Amino acid sequence: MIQQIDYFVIAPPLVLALAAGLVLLLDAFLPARPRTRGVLGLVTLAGVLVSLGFVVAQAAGGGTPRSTFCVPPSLADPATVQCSFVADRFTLVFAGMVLVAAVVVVLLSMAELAGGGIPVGEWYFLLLCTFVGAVTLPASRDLIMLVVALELVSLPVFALTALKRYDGRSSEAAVKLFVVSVVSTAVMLFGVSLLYGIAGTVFLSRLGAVFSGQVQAPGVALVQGELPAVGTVGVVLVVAGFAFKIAAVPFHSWAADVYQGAPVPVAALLSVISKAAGFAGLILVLVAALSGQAATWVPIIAVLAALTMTAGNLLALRQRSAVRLLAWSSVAQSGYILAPLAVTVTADGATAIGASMAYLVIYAAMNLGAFAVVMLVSKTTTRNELDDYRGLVFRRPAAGLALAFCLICLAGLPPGLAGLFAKVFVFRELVEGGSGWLALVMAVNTVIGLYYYAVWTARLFASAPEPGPVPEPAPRRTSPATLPAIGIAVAVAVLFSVAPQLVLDVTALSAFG
Amino acid sequence: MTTHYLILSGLLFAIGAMGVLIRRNAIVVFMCVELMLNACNLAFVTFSRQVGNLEGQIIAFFVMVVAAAEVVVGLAIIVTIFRTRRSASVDDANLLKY
Amino acid sequence: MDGYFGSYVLVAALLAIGVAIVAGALLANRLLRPSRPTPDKLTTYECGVDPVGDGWAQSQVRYYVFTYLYVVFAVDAVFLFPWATVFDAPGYGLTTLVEMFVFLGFIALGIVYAWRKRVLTWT
Repeated sequence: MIQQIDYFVIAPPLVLALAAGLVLLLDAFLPARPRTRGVLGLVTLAGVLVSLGFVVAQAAGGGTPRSTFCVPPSLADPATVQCSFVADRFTLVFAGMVLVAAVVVVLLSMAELAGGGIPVGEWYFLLLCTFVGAVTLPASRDLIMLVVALELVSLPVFALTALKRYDGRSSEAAVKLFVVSVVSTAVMLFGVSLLYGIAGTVFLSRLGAVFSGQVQAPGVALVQGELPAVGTVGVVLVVAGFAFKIAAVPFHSWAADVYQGAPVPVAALLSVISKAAGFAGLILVLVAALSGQAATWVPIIAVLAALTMTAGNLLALRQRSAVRLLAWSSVAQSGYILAPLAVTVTADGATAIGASMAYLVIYAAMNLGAFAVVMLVSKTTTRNELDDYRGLVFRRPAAGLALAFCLICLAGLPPGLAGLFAKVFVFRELVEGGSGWLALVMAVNTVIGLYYYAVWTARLFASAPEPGPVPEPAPRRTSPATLPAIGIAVAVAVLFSVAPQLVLDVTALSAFG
Repeated sequence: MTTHYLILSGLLFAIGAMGVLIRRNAIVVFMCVELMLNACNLAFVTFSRQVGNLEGQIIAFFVMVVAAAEVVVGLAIIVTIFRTRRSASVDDANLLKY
Repeated sequence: MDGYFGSYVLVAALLAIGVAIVAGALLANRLLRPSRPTPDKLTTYECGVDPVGDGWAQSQVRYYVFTYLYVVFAVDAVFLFPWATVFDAPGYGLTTLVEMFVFLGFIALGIVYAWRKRVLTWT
């Protein structure tokens, strides 16, 4: 029995995969000259843009979700549709966000690779592989695709982190990321095996039907809609596995070390693309497969969200390194993104997920903007601490103002309306969902967050360092690619500040098709 | 009959998890992770037999391939850290701190 | 000798007999032989040559990259086996055959890359 494959639906990841193959071949056969570097970067960028074009075309093609890799009707149980790859609005929003972020990351990579010392072909190949995984993951609707896509997001990132060879910090960061990530994969797989054992299927739609009691489970019988203990263990293990990927407490401790040790573009990749993929997977599993068992996971998610935002913010307070501060702040932001998932049952499920996704999209824009400026500054300073940003607005007005805007957005203060709106969306869902205590925790955390974002922003506007002209450590020429990266990220953040309805419209309707 | 296999799988997973938490050599930690992955495979194949479809076996194939890819990437990273540090102990990985 | 674990009794018995034979031979040896240790006798036996250096001497592992390649490509072969059982069954045909070669093509890409990067040469 041969399945018909709808190539238009799988075009975005397919284009990226082909681009990855092309980059690998070009790297192997082109002579190793400085010009080759630029060629490879442009091929990568072109691949990402073509893929983005397909996503836009799919979005423009109307709201009906398209799917492929379906179980033929003759073999499937008619009760549920079983498809492995679905391009609905949820998929398209995530794929679009990942690909726009990918453009920024590729531009940052060009700047990073201009310094030499990192093999270029391998870098772009691995980068493209990660993008393939991150675009495939939100479209996956069975556990096998989900696991493979998640691994495809994670595996190349270890190598990317370690690619700066003979650098103690980056190989240490790689080994930490690797061990944590591999253990989390194993934990998640064990949970997946338990869920499969109970439901006897890997398709999320069918899992959802089994766990909500519509279809008789072949494995273990549900007693009055309640899972047996083994099912609870399965749910907890799967949630724990994803919690590692999104750096939620208590699985957060790797974040700062890895962000600091990895090259800056990889830190940006981890904090936006890899995190988005983790959230996509988590939302898919919880909402599409386990919505019938919400009583089991809602309290876990609520507590995780509260702990994550609190721990992230408290740890960020004492950081002096810019990248470490961004790392802990992104842990805290994970908590805010996680929070609406805890009210998917009591509030309207679709709008709660919409709030989560809206926050994620806005967070991606402002965080990438901040990382792009950090990348720019990291080229001229060695330590990249907060004090190095003193007076940046006067030295490099564009970069300084961009960073200031992004930080204010992250804090959620008025000029940066995007961040404020994102927080309001989440608050509204929490209050409407009757989870007042979580809203309170979030309010307190927003105030804590204000402190360290404000301190950093204040440094930007502080007068230049007092002890005269500091012997700048040989200002290396910054690559021209950093500025467009900053431009894109900040433009998107400004757009969301001016017209937040845009992102809300896109995400609110993105219930699964 | 599948109960025995599931108990074995649970035991293997627990042994692997304990090893990850207790052992200090990166390569041994890594072997323990492989043990956990193989425990997952055993559970998948057992459940596949129990519920009577092949999906569990297909996952097991993918897990094997993923595990192999992880082995290669992981060992390569451990080799690079060994070259810079002359030690494979995870306690010696301490450059990145506050 | 019946029940689920019954068939394992035979394995256990075989194991016990094996251990008994080896242990018995070593024990008999020990009881019969005279024991007069000298320093020369206690050194490690290395085919008659005097042992040099430490037990933890490092050897150059020049083939570990080959091992990596082998692991990846050998494991990818697991996808060939399920395919091999069905590809000539009715209803599959040429498309299935071509699909597998597309997969092999992607793997070959890795080999080509390794070859161009001079990983396959024995330095």
